[in-house]
Amino acid sequence: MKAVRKLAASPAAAVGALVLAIVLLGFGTVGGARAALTYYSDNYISTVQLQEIGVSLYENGRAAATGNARQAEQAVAQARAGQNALGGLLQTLTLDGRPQGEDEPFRLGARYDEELKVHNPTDNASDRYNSSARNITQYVRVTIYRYWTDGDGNKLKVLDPKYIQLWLNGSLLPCGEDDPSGAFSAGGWLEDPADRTDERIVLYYTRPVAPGADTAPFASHFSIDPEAGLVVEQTETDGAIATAYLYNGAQFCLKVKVDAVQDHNAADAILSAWGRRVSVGPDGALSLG
Amino acid sequence: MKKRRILLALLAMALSAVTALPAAMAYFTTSTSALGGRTLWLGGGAGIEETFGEWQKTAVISAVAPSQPLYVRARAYSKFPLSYKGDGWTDGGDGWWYYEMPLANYQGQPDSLQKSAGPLIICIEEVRLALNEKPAGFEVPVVYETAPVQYNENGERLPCTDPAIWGGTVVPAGSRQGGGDAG
Repeated sequence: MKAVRKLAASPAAAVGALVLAIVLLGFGTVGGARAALTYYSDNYISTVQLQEIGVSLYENGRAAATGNARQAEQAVAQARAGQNALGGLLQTLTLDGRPQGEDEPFRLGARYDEELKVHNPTDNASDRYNSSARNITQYVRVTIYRYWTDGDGNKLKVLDPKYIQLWLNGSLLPCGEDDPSGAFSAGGWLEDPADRTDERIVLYYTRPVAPGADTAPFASHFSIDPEAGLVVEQTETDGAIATAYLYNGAQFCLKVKVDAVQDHNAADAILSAWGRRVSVGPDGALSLG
Repeated sequence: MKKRRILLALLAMALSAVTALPAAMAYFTTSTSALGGRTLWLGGGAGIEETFGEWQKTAVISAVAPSQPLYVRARAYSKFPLSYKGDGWTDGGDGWWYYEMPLANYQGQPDSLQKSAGPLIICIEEVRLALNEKPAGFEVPVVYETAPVQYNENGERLPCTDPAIWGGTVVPAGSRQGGGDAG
């Protein structure tokens, strides 16, 4: 025992342990290296298929946004060249498929066409950096924000986002923590009620989306509640009472954020990427756990 | 010297522990977002021009620029009976007379929208008969109100007499305060 202690306390033992540790670390990293092709032939052809993930948001059949850094870069380049590029939401208002003219006023209470869905692109063949990449099956979620701003883009928190209405086939999407309706669930979309705020709701698509496929729409129409046109602000000056519409001149804003994650090891991937614990059944059905 | 040995030993243990760490997991993820919005313009202002003659008061109400489509209604007050007439005006049955077509006054408005309502003629013949002589002076004040035009879900205009158009909620002055960053 004394000899062991003496050995352990000796400088040689300390140096030896250090060297051993370095060697072990080196072997551990060697395992991560990939084997290189060791056979060489003039006639040998190697095909490398890379995987990528991309996602697009479609509004009324038109791509409003795409989630691939290189494609977004292409879209910006197209926009600068004056070509048709991805635009934002609510660019063109249509009623039953009829575009509203530029000189037509916005119709308070009318339900404009606003079909929103998520698309998983097939591949990135148009991507000049990576034309052979193939997209993968994915799970998606959307975060919908609704709020009012002034002419300078400053948020007007006193104006109620509930007047900015999104519909899915006659059903109103909930808005606000005071909304008495329960968690939204329709068309394969499931709301996480824990994430609902006055301005935001989060919807999870319960089915995996294959490359080239679309989700079911999570919105079909959009409107501004006519009640917004009935709220007036009164001011009294020298006995004269003046009224002004509180929402006059305010800008209603709709923002949709789409997140996508791989379907392989989906539950772990979603927990890691989105911080949300979910369950994925044998048939691929996702549920919020 | 002893300290140096202890440090070396600790370093060796730490390096060994590193090899035991699991490999980091990377997942395929991506996201995108889109934003859009429009400015909501509601109603606007209106003005009235009144003329009197032949025991009739004629009121012409016009939208003041900039004014989005709005409905107008008007009524007069007198202790004597009054009668109303005018093309395009309809009796709402609640003491108000409603102009059936919306008024608007903004740049580029379509031809279908007019800036002024047709004249509303308020007959005060009954006053003359009741007083039996030309009075020194009397007043028949005309009051008018405007409200933004509203539409049903199909985009069709609600009729001017729809009660939903003329309700309202009054909030205190200064209720609308800006501030904060746009989300």
